[in-house]
Amino acid sequence: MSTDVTLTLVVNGRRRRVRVPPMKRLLDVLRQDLGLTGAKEGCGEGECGACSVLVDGLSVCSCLVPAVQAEGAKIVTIEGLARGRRLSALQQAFIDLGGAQCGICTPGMLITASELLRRCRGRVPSDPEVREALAGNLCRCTGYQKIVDAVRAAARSAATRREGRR
Amino acid sequence: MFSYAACAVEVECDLDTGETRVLKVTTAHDIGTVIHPVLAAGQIEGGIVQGLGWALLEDVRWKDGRVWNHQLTNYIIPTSSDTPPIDVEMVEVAFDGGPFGAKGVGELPMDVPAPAVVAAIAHATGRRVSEIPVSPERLLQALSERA
Repeated sequence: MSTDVTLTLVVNGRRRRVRVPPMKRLLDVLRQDLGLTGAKEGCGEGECGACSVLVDGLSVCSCLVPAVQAEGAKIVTIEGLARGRRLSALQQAFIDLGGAQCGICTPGMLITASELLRRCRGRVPSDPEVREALAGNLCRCTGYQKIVDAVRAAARSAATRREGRR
Repeated sequence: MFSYAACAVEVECDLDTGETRVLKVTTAHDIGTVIHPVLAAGQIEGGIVQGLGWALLEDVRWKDGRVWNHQLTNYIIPTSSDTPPIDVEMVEVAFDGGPFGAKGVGELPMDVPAPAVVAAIAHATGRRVSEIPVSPERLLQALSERA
């Protein structure tokens, strides 16, 4: 007799149905049941932010969210930031400015940065403001400099203002 | 064949809590010809921040031959909030013996921040701490000695 539950999640704009143990981590549901391996397990204890996804617009550590808690939520993963093959302004800025080295923190950084830019509504956040917003996403490679530069560059770019939400 | 680096930091020390904040980092590196400026600067920025972590936050604790603080919860590495803007200058002098005039950059950036931070703390407080990381406890200890 299975103790699994059937859950419906809206992931990157699509309704997805999964049958999983109720306390399975959202991170594992995304990676294993939905094949969305963009979110990474950096620590498994909510410290590093490599597993960050947007849940109803807020960047959260998916390693800390039990599947049942995500029922009915609107989830956006790194795979959902681009529109088809068109990268978001943030993604393009990271490429242009060298904001990624090994890339493990990058999905989480982009998720948290996209929440920040949406909150800013077209305003360019200050350097300290970006650093504080990203404080929950650890990076060991870059020293954060080019990540912060990329986030502010994306905020400045016309494409971001045109796109509105990203 | 040697690569060279210099680093200056500006710090602010809280004499009540023993906390040190790094306000600014400026570093100059001579790594020969810089083949890829963005990647090279990125490597330096990353190494500088690792060095700042070593200087102020990262303390490996051992117990019975094992690392006691082996999680990110208890081994503290710098966040973006702990990290100031970093100014990287390249002193570019082509080196005959290297490919396209390049030398090496990999591990060099980590060597300079900790001595710079200790020197800056000494400049700010008059106390030269002899162990890193200069945790709040260690700085408060140093401040309470030889008044």
